[in-house]
Amino acid sequence: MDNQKSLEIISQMIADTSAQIESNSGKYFLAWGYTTVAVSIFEYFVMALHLNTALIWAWWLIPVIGGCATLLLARREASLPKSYVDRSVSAVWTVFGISSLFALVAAMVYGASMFYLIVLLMGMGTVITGAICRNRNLTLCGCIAMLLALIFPIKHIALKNMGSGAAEWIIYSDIIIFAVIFLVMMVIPGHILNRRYRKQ
Amino acid sequence: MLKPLDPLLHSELRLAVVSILIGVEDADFVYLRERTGATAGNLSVQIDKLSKAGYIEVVKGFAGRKPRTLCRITELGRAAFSSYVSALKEYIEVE
Repeated sequence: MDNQKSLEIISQMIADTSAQIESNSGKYFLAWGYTTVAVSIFEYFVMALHLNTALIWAWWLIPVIGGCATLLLARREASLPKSYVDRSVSAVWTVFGISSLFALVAAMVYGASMFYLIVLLMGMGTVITGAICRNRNLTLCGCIAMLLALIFPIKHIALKNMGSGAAEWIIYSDIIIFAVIFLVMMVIPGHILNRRYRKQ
Repeated sequence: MLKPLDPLLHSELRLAVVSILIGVEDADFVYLRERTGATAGNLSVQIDKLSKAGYIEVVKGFAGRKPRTLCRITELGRAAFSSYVSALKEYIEVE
């Protein structure tokens, strides 16, 4: 084997492996993003059409569907190599995912602002993932989501003194804002990551 | 005086395996076989040589019910790869 061939093998193997590793992330963002948007729209109609109040428990479909999708995708990619980046990203999302579950429980038990807490936590997770993967799009979308999270408390303060009709409107609009933020935070960067992988 | 190239790494398949492992924490045997295009038997022999030299670590286990072999580069393997690349650069500069 000549020296040029050795160099070719090294660079080709390193480039191929990095491309494989990068392909993992987009699908997870899309799975969680689309699940959250779909469940939010469903909950919006439940509230707007005054359907059965027990359907509020459908919020739990987000961790159930998202968790199952994550397990399926991870199983399909079990034979792919794992990098330090994979382990770091996985640890970040485990911690932020569990924290979001706590936020969901807090919202249902004593009325804490689920939307604000979850968007803030998921935004932080997205920013950190972007920083670990050195992906500007992810970092930017995460930062935008964290800033947009401020809409919830600001809107709440602004509409607090507007009577009982406003309270209902706050919840309706919160659900739509929540869905839009997830679209910006997970669906858009998910598609960008996937498209970049396909180009490679 | 040019440094000699490590004969253990100066082989197409072994170099490919180490180049893959250098960028990851560990890699599955099946993945290594697919990326290198080698036969299972040949790959197994080369992995064994790298393992005996202490360049890689081989962990056998199960993924569900299926047997699974994971390969991981060791510190010695990293150092050997780094020296190999440095030596290779010198050879190419001379050429």
